[in-house]
This record gives sequence, structure tokens and C-alpha cells, in this order.
Amino acid sequence: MTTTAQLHLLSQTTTEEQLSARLTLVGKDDGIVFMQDSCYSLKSPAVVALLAYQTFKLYALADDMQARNIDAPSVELIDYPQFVQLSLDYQKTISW
Amino acid sequence: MSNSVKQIAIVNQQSSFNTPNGREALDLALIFAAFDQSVCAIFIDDGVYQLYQGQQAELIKTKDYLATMKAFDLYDIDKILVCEQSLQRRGINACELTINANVATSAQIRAQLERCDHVLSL
Repeated sequence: MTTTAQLHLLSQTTTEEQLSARLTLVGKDDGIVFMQDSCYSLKSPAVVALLAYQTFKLYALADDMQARNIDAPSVELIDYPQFVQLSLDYQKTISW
Repeated sequence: MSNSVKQIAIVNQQSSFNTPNGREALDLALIFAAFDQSVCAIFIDDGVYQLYQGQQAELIKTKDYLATMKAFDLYDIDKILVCEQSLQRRGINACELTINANVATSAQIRAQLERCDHVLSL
């Protein structure tokens, strides 16, 4: 991982238009974490399609996904200790 | 007495857990119904997530108000409209909803809003 890789935290629901605008600010080595109600967005086929061919890593908090009954195979599920570790691995976190 | 009955539409437009809006809208709907008012519950935009099946609020240490939606029936709230386009955009099928609701077009929802005496949007 490069030293300038950022970890982007998404916590609100997003449409594919909003996400597309946000992705212009995400570097190719960055990571994105879906948490809280942003997890619902992974139910949208348009959002999943938008994320399909990107190079950055996609994570989601397992508890938040399961609480909302959302299943997204393209996203790596993480628990809270892994979330803490990720926030240390990247240069910094950016909450949107 | 029948003159005092108002038609009240409660519009849900926020996702389930980030804001208290969904829970408060539900409380409002049940309170109005308990006072014999005619309540219509409408779910649009992110509000449709409140009706998505299989959610487990206890996993994120939240009170499970979504399950209480099933009380609509008990309170004689039978006008429940869910926006078709909002469901479609979010990849939710009508058969994946927790309660028996009418999937409606924007025009049908607009018409319902016109019929109501009061509209509360949360």
C-alpha cells in the first residue's frame, strides 16, 4: 500500500450519481468502507455496477450489513477490530 | 363526530437508522390512528428501506421499530403506499417488503396527497 492511500468512510445512503461524483476523489490505491445506512446503497444494481471495475478496495462493516439484510459479494466484510486496523494502515480516514 | 375525522398522510423519506425520523413517523401514525383519525402511510425515496425484509436492528444496538410496522393492520391503517420508482432505483422488489403495501406511481402518491387534509413529512 502506498503511503498516500486514503480510507474513505461512507455512512449515508447514496445514489449512483452521488457516488460517481465522490469516486472522482478516490485514488486507485484507496479504500472505501461502507458503514451505517450507506450499506443500503449496495442493494442498488446501479451502485454495484458502478463499483464493479474499480481498482480500489471495498469494505463494509459486517454488523451494519447484516442488520440491514444486505449482501454484496464484491465487498469485503470487516468487523470492528479490522476496521481499527484499516484506519491505521491507510494514511488517514476521510468521512464523507 | 365524523366531521372531526381528518385524513392525515405521513410521508417517510429517510433511511432506517441514521436519523430518528422513521421511528418518529411510525409513532405519529399510530398515535393519530389511536385517536380514530384516518392515516395514510407513504414511503418514498430512502424511506422505502424501512420496509425492506430481514433487518436485525439489535445487531447495531438499536430498538427494532421496523417490526412495529406490522401493527399498522391492528390500528386499521390500511392505506400504505410505496413509491415504485424509489423501490426500483434501490434494487428492492415489491415481494421483499415486510408489510402488505400498495406499490404506487408518483402520480398515484400525488393524488393521495391531494385527498388528505394534512400532510406530515419526516
